[in-house]
Amino acid sequence: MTAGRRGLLWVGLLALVLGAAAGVAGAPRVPNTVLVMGGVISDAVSLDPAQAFEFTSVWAAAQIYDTLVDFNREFNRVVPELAESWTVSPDGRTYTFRLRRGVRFHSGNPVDARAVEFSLQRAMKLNLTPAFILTSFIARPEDVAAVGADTVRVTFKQTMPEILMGSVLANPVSSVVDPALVQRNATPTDPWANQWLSFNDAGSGPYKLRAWSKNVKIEFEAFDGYWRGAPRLRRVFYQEMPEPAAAMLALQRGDIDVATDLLPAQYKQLQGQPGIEVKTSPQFTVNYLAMNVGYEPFGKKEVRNAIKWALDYDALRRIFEDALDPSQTIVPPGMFAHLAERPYRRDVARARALLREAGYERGFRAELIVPVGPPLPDVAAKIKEDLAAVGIEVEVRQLRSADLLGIYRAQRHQLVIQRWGADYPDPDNLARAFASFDARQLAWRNQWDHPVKRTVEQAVAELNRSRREALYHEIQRVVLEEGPYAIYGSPLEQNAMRSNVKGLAASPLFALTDLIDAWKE
Amino acid sequence: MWAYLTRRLLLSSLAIFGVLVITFFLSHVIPGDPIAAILGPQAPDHVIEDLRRRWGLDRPIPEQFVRYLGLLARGDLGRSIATNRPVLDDLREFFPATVELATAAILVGVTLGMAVGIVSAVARGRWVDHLVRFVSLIGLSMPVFWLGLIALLVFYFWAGLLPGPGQLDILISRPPRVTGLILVDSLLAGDGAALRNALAHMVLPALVLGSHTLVGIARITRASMLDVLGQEYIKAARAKGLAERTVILRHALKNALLPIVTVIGIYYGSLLEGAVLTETVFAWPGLGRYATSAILSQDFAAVMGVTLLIALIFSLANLVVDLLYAALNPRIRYE
Amino acid sequence: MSSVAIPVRPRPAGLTARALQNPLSLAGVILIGLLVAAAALAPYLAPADPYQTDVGRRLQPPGPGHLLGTDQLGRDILTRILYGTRISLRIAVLTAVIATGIGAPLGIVSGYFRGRTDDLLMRLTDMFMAFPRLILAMAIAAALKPTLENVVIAIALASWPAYARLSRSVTLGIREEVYIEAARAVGASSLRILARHVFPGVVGPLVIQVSLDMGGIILTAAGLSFIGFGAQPPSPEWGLMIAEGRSYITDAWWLSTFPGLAISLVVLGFNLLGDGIRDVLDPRLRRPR
Repeated sequence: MTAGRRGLLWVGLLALVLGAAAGVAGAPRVPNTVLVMGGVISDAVSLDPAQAFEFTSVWAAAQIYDTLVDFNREFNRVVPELAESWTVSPDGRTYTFRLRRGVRFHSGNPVDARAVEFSLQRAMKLNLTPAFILTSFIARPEDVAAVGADTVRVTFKQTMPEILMGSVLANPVSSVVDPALVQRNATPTDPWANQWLSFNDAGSGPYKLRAWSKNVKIEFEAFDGYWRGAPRLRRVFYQEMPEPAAAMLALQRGDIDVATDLLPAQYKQLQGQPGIEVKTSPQFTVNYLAMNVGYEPFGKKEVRNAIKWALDYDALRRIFEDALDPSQTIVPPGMFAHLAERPYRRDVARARALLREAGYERGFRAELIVPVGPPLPDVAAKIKEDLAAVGIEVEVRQLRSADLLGIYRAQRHQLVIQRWGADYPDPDNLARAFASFDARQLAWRNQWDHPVKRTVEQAVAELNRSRREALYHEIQRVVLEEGPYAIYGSPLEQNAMRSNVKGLAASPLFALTDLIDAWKE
Repeated sequence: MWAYLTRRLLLSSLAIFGVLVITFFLSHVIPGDPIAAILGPQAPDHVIEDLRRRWGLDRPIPEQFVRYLGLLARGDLGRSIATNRPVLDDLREFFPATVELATAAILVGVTLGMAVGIVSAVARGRWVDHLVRFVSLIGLSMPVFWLGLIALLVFYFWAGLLPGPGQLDILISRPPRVTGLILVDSLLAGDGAALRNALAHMVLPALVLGSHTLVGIARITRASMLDVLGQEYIKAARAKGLAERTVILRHALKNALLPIVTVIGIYYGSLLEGAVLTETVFAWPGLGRYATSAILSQDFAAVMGVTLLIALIFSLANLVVDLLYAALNPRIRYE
Repeated sequence: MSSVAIPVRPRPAGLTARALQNPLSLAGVILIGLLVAAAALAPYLAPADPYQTDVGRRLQPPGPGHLLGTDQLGRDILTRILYGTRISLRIAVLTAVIATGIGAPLGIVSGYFRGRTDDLLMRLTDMFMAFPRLILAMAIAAALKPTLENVVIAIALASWPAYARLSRSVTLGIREEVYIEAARAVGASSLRILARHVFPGVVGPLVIQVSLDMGGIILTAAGLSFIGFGAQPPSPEWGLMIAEGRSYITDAWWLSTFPGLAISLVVLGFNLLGDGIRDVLDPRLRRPR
């Protein structure tokens, strides 16, 4: 009894230590046919392509499902996927797609025109979060129609330049799902099997969904019957690692192959470390400081431009650990029609002169609202310092997104720090948001109603690529010279991976490029 | 006894109802919009309006509360906006991981804590006592999240002795879900590899989370032992010439157990919610992380569900402790 | 040890004197003294400005120029830690004041008047006791926007019930004392009795309990900051400094290590002192949390 009691304590201790040792002895390295990624996957709500709208779920859906068309790696050309080829009507509104033959779903069922029609109509009728990408351009579900066993016709509301067509139909919301599986799993309250599809796979893409345990991992398995051939990575895991410091340790130890959600400072440290590569890509996102034209001083173009001349763009870039492309226009670098002009730099004298011209030589006060979370509060502190140097006294208020967006949407802000990530890789998305008052997005929130909004409508309907580019250049110049935004760069997408991982890169629109092109050495 | 129990249960239910009311209104008076927070800055206004209507967030707050109570009466905790699932399903999925971690932590805390406390009491006033207490106080003084990071750095990254974050190595597949507790499930499945791996993964988080319990238990054990060691019957036992070890472990410890047992329940309850920080550092898919993200995204139903669950457990733990105390200590009677 | 009787009105001064005979408690007092001194003298002791960034000198290891190194924006870490003492001290003191400010009056009234009032107030206290504390603090901090002041409010609102309970039990003892009877007999009003006789008796135990809880309060505040519910950059709050420095944990260990040590030392100070006081009192007096 006596010895027993004490013994019990020691046995407990020993068991812990032994268990630990056993775990270590059995720890295998990741084999070459398996890829393990670590990052934040808890954002995913549903893997149903008609509902997926978060980074993780959109990317995952893109691995499981195919769409009619796809983009090339740079996101500036539309390339075939399930559709082998297509023709467009002279008015640029009707596209007719010819499907690739012999493509099959993971279930073995054939991918045919009826499946395409079913899937797009399903997404529009379900009308969940991402459906607006379809419904903004296609009036009614019936405008997507199978006109033969392997021919599908899509009629849009408006003239659609090819890139814009791709923006809609290459988006995961336009994924083709297996109608037979959907119908089999439909219930009276859920006729489109949205609940079932949230956690299950009805796709024809290169990877099958093996399992998704929320907040733990998503598991994919190669689909050998894929029309482009079987993927080289046989199994892929995306593991939840909410603590970036822990994810970095795991990458350095080789327990994970790719880390997707590190902090800028960590990517900086990892650059040049042996065995690790940091891949960087321009991202279709714009970081900006917006001025509400409804707040008296900002009604004057000179004041707005004084602010653009007052900012120290280099210092802001350093706050982002240089993971920021110093672009100053609304169309981000890497996207079609990006205007590579950077007129603004810190020039206090010029800013003061502009303020004098506008009648504000004595400066004024303004409130700046900024979301919490690094590094934006540091950015706000720097902007406050820069504007103080030209006589504008800024008071910074940090708000949670929900509160900040409430104020911003209601046009009750004076200055706000925000970013805009493209919903689709066409300059129309950004031009509309930043320059079209009628779109009720950023120009509207900042009460900037400028005739350039007509150019936005003209550009979206222009089918000729070079004339279209010229129109977007014009819009960008107008916003640059008069707009209520001081754009201080486009963040770069970064991913860190073991150097034996090949063919996988950071992507401008999703976190990573498609898995189908990746392999390990 | 039964009257006492009924009274306690009634009071607990009342307290829990109060908790519900406060949490509900607290989470609804926040100016801010969960839908806007989840959809981000770019969703078109009409999409936000649609969703608000779909989730009933456009209704007056009292009406929403009544509707919530109606659901609750039918055993339905509502749907989480962020995960788009019934909150009950979410709790069922995430709670077992927290239970498992908290249980491991309490085991670590209690066994090591009692050992430390006994050593300290026996060596009272000598340098061993001071050293043991000093070291355990240092443990109590370190922020858990920092301790966790350092533990990962040392034992996982530098020494490679223990596995990294998560419940299992990624390549080890999870045994079929029966109880939701990984250790139990792998035992049921007879999966030795998963069991060993899960145990190894549990060492660091359990030690880190259990560190504060360890110190608490050590203190109580020490005090309680000192108390008992001063009693007459111990002196008598010594006088009888019994070996010191027998005196301490058989006579003293047995009688010193009472206060220790009674605090374990309370510690356990607080571990269940105290796991928030540990779970973040060790990528543990538990309730703490679920609660954190629910609060951040103003996911009402989820916040309510977690609060309700924890409040229930707290009340229950308190009740059990009081009953246990009565059972162990015949001098106390409840009228 | 067990021969020490539980005094109904322990005099903190006498207790502290006795506690100080223990070398560990003495060490605790010295640590707390250093904290207070650092907070008071931060502007004179600190070699730099806690907010002044200098990107050219970022991530410098500890050395002659910067004793504890510099952080990711080139700020001197020693300076930030010194200024951080003010934040931690303010959080601890304000939280204690607010929590006892709510708890003590409720407890005193409850214990003095007994009956209905007591029942009602104690049910309220029970309700708050049933609340998951950290979750309540997180919810309040989220509701009130993440600032330091709101962290204080959140922790205080989550921790007052313990003080209410304590005040009540002490009051229950005091109200039976002879001098209270005497005061009542000469016609003193309840308010007067509460203020002149009961309250001073409650102060002692409260001060002791608060000193025991200080370490926990500081840790909770740091934890809230770590997960984003507390202090926001560029504040030199220690929990936040650890959070910001954790990205550099393998390459620039000093960023999160020194603030971590600072928290640990301060909390250790409070814990050592608290432990000493506990030792002097009866061991059975306390319950966890």
